[in-house]
Amino acid sequence: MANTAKLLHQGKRFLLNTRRQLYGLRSIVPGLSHRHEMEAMVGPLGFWKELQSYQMHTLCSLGLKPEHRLIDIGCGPLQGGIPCIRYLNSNGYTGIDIMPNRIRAAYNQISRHDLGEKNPRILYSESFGDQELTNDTFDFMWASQIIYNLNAVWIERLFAFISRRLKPGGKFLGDIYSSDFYLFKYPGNQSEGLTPYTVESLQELGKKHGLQVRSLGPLSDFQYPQRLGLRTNQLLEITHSPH
Amino acid sequence: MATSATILHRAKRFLMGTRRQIYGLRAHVPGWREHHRLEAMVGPLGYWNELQRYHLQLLQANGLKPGHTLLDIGCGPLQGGIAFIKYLEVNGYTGLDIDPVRIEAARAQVIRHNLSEKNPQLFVSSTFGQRELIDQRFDFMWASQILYYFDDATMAELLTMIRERLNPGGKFLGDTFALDHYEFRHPEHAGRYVRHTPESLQAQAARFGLKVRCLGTIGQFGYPKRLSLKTNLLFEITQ
Repeated sequence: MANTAKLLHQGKRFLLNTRRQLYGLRSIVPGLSHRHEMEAMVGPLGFWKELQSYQMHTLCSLGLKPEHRLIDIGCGPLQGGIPCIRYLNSNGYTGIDIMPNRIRAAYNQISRHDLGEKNPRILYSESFGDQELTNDTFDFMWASQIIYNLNAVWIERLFAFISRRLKPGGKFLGDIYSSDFYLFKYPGNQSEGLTPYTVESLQELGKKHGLQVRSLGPLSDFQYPQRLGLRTNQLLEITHSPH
Repeated sequence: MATSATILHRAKRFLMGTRRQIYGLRAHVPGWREHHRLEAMVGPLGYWNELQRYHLQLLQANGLKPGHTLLDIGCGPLQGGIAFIKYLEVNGYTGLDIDPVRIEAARAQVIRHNLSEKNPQLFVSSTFGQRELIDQRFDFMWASQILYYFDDATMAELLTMIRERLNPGGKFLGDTFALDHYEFRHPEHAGRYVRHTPESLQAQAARFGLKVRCLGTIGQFGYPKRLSLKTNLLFEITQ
């Protein structure tokens, strides 16, 4: 029974990989190559608009208002960033990323979408923006599919960052893999460097930083595309502890 | 005598106008069009590289070091900005402009010169950054060829910003027309420019607890000798 499940999983992964390679052909099609390049930076391919709507829907349904200030941690080529910049008032959006090529892509996206007037701040940062942001604080922090890439040192830094820079009443939102996610059931090369955080382990960490962590349910409850494996990721809300 | 001076001035202006129109032909030449567009945003035409060198040279001569933070007020399409971003360390440069088209051009320049990793911050602002900069402060502030557009009220806004955001030991640098600039002798754009003098600036700055010092003409700091603005006066404002 276990072997059948594993074979089924491998078959599914093979088909998904073939799909990815077929999508990869777009990189040589004029007119589609830019879109492909952007999607390949964030993956999965072929879901740009759905994922853009999901990010915006999640933030808005959890209270983001145009006058709020948002930091998008791991903003990449602004998949969620573009609608956020449009939605927020001027000076409301800050995006940070650790990858220079993504920062360049983010700059390009702002020009392409003619959003310079909204004064989005895009920062290359190896410290979640701590070195770059002087004393800025935020109403919302968004870290989509980032947390499980952070090792023990970096997750500590992230929590310290949240504790310092989240406004009272503000929310950090980010997701972690569900405990039965395939990378944990069938570990392979892709699993390397991923940390299986749980709500409980992060709640413990949160206590050290005066933060409370709670699960808001799977991403699929927030319009994450049902066809994607990551729909089972748990969305977390982190806020300052009440005392 | 006054009449011959006027005629000479008019002839010179005519020739300069013709030169400008000839340069304008670049707008129709593929490959030169974008460069022309950027130059036309800041003027004068045909001096982009010299003026870029001048900006950096002037700031360096007045103490700018790579570790400093700089606010470039009226940054336009980053004529000086590109040189500053390259020279300064990461997070050192912030540019402001009131014109969204110029900020868009500035952003495109950052992409073109592959400088996004230096984290230059570019803002459209009509408040000298007061709404945009949160609590940021700067070691240097640079306002090239814009002070003479500012009336007393705008100058007061600028001085307020300087008082609040200039680091202790920091410097604001900016230039104004020379007192005998042709605009004041043979006005071509009546009412557009404000004639600031060292005394008027000192009096105004003193109300904000700031000190003004004239550092000479910008010609002394590498401004191209062929351009009439070489006689502009450079001012330093400190706490």
